[in-house]
Amino acid sequence: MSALHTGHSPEVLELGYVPAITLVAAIVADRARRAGLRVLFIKGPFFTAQGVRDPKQSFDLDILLHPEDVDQLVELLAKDGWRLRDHPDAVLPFEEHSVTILHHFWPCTIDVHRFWLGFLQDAALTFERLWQYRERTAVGALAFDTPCYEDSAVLEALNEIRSGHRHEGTLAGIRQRVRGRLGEAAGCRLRERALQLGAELSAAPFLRPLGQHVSIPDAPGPAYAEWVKRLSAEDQSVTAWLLRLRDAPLRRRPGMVVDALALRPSQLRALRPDARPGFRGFLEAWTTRARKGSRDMCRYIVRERRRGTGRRTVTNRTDTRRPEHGEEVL
Amino acid sequence: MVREEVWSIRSGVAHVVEPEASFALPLDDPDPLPHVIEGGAHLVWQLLAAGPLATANIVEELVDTTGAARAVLDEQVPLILDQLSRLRLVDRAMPGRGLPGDGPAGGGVPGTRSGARTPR
Repeated sequence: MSALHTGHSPEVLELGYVPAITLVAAIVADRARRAGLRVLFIKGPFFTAQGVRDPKQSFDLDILLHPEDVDQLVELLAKDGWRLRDHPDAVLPFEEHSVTILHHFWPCTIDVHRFWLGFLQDAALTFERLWQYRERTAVGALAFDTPCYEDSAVLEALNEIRSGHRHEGTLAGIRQRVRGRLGEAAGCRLRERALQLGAELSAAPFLRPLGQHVSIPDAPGPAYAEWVKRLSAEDQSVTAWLLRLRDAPLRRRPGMVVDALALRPSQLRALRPDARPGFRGFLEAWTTRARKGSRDMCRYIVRERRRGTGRRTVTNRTDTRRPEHGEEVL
Repeated sequence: MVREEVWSIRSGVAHVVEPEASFALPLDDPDPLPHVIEGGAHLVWQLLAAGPLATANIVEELVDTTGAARAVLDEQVPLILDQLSRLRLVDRAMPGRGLPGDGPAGGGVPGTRSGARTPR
């Protein structure tokens, strides 16, 4: 009978992503508990265990905290060797909703979320409401605090909506699962939770097919406008950056352009972690980024010309209904 | 009557049981790293993951599930448990003295508390 190896040996490379995420979650839960911090474990194996999503490969651990607790938890985890990933904040077009930390040993990173995109209200209030309805979810032999089933479904739906317009199939899958679990009441219960979490408008594309008539008001507010702006960027950082550049005062624009072009190697590597080491790797990553940036920029310009919309924003649209999937949002 | 040690996974040890191996993480360590538990130790760990067990019960279960010779298991299982104990992954307690987290000590039928299995 063979015995066992310690974590310091190369055998630990056998550790897959799911066990790694589960064990890292155990570290986070332990450190947070000792410090009296509240942590909600989201996405990945937690949502799979809740039945919100199908099993799929995850490469990071996602956690959501009260926004004022994020720094303290990151500092606590720093004592265990977790480090902030070098962040190229010069090119970030929107408010940072999360920080990513990594460890030299563990294969997964931790995404520490200050707030969840799509919850269009005060982040602290949203967290309190999520925490109030939390449940314990077992992943293997361990149990973690997660949002309740309904909240997790809303959160997952927002994640998919934000991922772009190519995920209707995934949204349909979430709807099918929540209908299977909650039955006819699924739409009402999810809408009620979405309302509590400030996500009724942002989750409308998810809620409408569940029989909920969510209409977007004439003046939906700046948070919704920001959300639509993010959607319009479709996760394309260049497009999002162009939108910011367009809205920025004229005197700030040259600096923004310089920031975007003259990235430090560490910034570029944070954006493209798969880049090969060394100068050649940096050059390849820079070229790839420049090529992709140019392509996205051309697409954006073509799209804008086709529409002929000029500087129109969502807040002055005559049709203020949240665009459905497949519709253009600008 | 011989009082036999009962073994349990230490509180404060997070673990994941996979088909080929188990991974145990002592959370009390600074910068904890996982121990990879394979082979016979993995089989023992799987049993302990279900609840505290006496050495004899572990041997008994393994004889049933693996078909290995009892004499070999009688020799190997205590060695594995000792190794796990030295790594501070499992705790031992005498029946009647209570296991960590079991509440008030004393009394009770050996091997039956906190989900422990009864000897056959």
